[in-house]
Amino acid sequence: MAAADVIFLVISIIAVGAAALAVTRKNPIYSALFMMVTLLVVAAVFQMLSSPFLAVMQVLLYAGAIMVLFTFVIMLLSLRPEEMGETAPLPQRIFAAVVALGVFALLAFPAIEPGVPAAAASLAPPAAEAVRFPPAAGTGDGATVEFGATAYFGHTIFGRFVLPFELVSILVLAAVVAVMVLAKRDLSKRDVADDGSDRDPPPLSVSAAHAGSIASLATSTQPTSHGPGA
Amino acid sequence: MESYAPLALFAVLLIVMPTSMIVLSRLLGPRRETEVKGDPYECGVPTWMGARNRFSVHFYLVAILFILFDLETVFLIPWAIVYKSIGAVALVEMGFFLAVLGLALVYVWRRRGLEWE
Repeated sequence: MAAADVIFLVISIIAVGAAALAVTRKNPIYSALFMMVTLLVVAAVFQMLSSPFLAVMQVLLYAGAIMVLFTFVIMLLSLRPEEMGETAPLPQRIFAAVVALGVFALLAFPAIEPGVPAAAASLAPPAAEAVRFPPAAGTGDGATVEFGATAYFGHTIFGRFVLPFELVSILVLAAVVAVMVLAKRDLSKRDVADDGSDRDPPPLSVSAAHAGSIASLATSTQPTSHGPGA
Repeated sequence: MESYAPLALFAVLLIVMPTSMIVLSRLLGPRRETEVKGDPYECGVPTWMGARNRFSVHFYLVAILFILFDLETVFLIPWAIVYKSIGAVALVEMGFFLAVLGLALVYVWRRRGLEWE
């Protein structure tokens, strides 16, 4: 077994183990921390697949920013100790298991179907092979870059996959609008009056005492605080 | 792969230094536990309420908007690296991308998403 195989084995065990722990923890904060371990180890997988750029972005965006978002949600909800460990109703758990297995089957299918890995391999250049990118429309210099390098990534995005790249900006625009509609509606009375909709309860509402500033957070007496030091 | 040697060295130092500091101070230093020393404290002030308070939902909006615009920055890095070799076309491609996201920023601004109210 080559050294790379051993490393891959170790990081796979860590990734799967941390993922399993993330699902089974009672305290959501521990789940989030184990999920962060999984995401960090996936960055190591990207690095092994000779893509340092994706590895760094995995750490910065997923293990960094996205996990902060998860932690925010946990702190927004602020579960009381007696609420932890409550499980979803059985039909919901069965449905979740079916969906998870379905996604796993979809992801595993290309690996076990004989024709697919060969076809995928023919699309990607072999690792560590330098690829020549001609300049677009004869304006630039062109470049010869190693597979997986950040420059390779750039040439692929701004060359062959430029349409999906531009569509990403539309996707982000849609996400920004969605965030504003969902999260801002209940925060601003005037915005609610704008579209005249007060039918639905605000999805991310917290009690009025919390909707104020940090100052009110610090000074108001919290009926929900059940910390050990309280 | 040799280019990662400094990183590996850094990682080793990163683990060895704090571990040795904690272990050595635990082995060599005197430990006299008192009740006061065991108290949690914040900036020297005695604790007076629980640690598990809810966050204001405002933070969440800011965090999501940050991540979305963070994503935009991510694409600027490979773009900056390949800009010279691709040429003027790259400017147009990134220009459109940034224009759409600028539109998103204008929308957030006009809907007063950046205000803390």
